Amino acid sequence: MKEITRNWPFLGCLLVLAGAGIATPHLFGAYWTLVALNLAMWIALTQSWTLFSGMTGYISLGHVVFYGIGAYVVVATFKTVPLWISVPMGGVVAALFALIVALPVLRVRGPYFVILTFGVAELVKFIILNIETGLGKSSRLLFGAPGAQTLLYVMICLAIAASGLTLFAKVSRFGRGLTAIREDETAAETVGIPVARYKVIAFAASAAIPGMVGGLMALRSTYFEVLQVFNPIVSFTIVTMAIIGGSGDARGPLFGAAFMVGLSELLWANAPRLYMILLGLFLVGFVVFAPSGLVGLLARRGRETSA
Amino acid sequence: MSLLIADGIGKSFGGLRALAGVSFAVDEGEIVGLMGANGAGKTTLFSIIAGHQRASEGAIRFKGASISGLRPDQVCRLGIARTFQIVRPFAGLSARDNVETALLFGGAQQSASAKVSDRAMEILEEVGLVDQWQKPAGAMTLSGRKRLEVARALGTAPELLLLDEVMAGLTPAEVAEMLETLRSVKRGYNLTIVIIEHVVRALVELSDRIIVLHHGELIAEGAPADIAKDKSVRAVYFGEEDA
Ligand SMILES: Nc1ncnc2c1ncn2[C@@H]1O[C@H](COP(=O)(O)OP(=O)(O)OP(=O)(O)O)[C@@H](O)[C@H]1O
Ligand SMILES: [Mg+2]
Repeated sequence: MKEITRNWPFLGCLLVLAGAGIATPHLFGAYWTLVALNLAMWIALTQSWTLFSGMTGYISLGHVVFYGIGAYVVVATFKTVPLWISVPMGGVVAALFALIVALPVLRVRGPYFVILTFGVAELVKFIILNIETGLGKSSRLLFGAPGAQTLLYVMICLAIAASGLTLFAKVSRFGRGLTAIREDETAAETVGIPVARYKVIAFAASAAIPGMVGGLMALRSTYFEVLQVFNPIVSFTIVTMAIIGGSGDARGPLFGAAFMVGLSELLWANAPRLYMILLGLFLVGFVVFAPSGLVGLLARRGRETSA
Repeated sequence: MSLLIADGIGKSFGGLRALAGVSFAVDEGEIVGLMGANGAGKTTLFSIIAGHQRASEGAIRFKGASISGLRPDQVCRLGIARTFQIVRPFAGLSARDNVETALLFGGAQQSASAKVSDRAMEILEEVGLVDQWQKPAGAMTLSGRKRLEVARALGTAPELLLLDEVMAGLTPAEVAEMLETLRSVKRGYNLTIVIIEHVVRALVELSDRIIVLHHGELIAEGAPADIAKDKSVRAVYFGEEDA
């Protein structure tokens, strides 16, 4: 508890963001509601990614698979299962999927793990694509989905939940175990950490909220296309945000998501090419010059000015 | 009563026979030295006891029960701690966090966070690292990291401590310090120790009993003074050392 309260600047920042998000539909209208939804979504996704990849050092390049599975669950049960059940169910199915693939996938480390997660996501994408084609549904329309404001409010809850989970993981004994695994897996098991179990639990935990996020976003776009909800760009964007923010703890994703959503707002509509170029430059720049991300840069500034 | 019993341990890596029919017992409270030339199989023996590798033959018993086939984290929680010859600190964590991790997960399973920090500092004090508690382990000198290996092992609250060349690469002064540290923690924690060491003088000084491995086989066992006089040991071990 003491560690949680010690993070009051983070918690305060989170509350302010949430408040701003809740006020947006009333104050700024439809366009900014969608921007806020977007921001909340990326915060939720990047926090979840950090919970596993940031803490254990196993870089997942396939997190879109959980998002896609959640979306598919909601779409496939649309109008038969109420949304307040199907959206959480999307999270549960995503987490179960993570549990099932965790044991084989988490046997490999480093670049092999990165490639493998990417491959698993692509594999699931094509399996579901085949199922849908077999069912004769190349895309589905969703009529009567909730409006953007409702989705935004639920998404804000998910963003807060994901941030809370990552913060809790960081300060808990569980998080200590994950950090030790990142530093040296062999040494970690030598001091008594049940390495395999910890990795599997963290992996499943980091899949649950993306599953629910995917379900919500399927409702947002009102039509469902497999290639779109399993788009690997989602995975890449999550990793980019985590790196730019600084992936060590729960603060990074807030900065990373805000930075990139802001950049995309400024440039995407008018200068999409410039946006992509800048994105690449920032990614390379941060990896090479500031591997601890915006959080690291700000912390260093803080130390320099106070010194 | 014997705390640890190795019963006919054998290990092959493909065609290479790293250990063959190694049997010995370690009594509670003993310090047993493990000697042998490079590649004799000493580290492999530790890895098998600690659960990092499976023996091809034979069994390990700890406090009367077989521990063969257990995972390293299970072996650790039963009360066996090992250090690594090639040190493996949690490089990005401070010395104190390294030890705290061991306290949180090892046999001690401490939970109250304030107490864990205090306890970690006590252990760092004992191994002579207390003034470096904030330093990332990766930034420490070799001597510091070797001490940290010992500290982290102590953090798991072991009954049996397996030390793999914790004095290799240290200056004579540092070796003397480490010997002092080991003696004091042995007393303070009521430990049983098996120690691998190439610094023969240190081993003779510290051990109650010495076991000699040669090409994976146990070729001699006895009091340090007798081992030093043993003909076969002199031939295969000291002979090589002097050459
Ligand atoms: N994982 C492995 N795969 C294949 N061979 C191995 C493996 N580990 C050890 N060996 C071989 O087994 C033999 C025993 O190695 P081990 O490390 O146990 O020796 P050691 O007595 O600790 O030597 P040193 O004094 O150099 O530390 C060596 O020939 C080594 O090359
Ligand atoms: Mg060795």
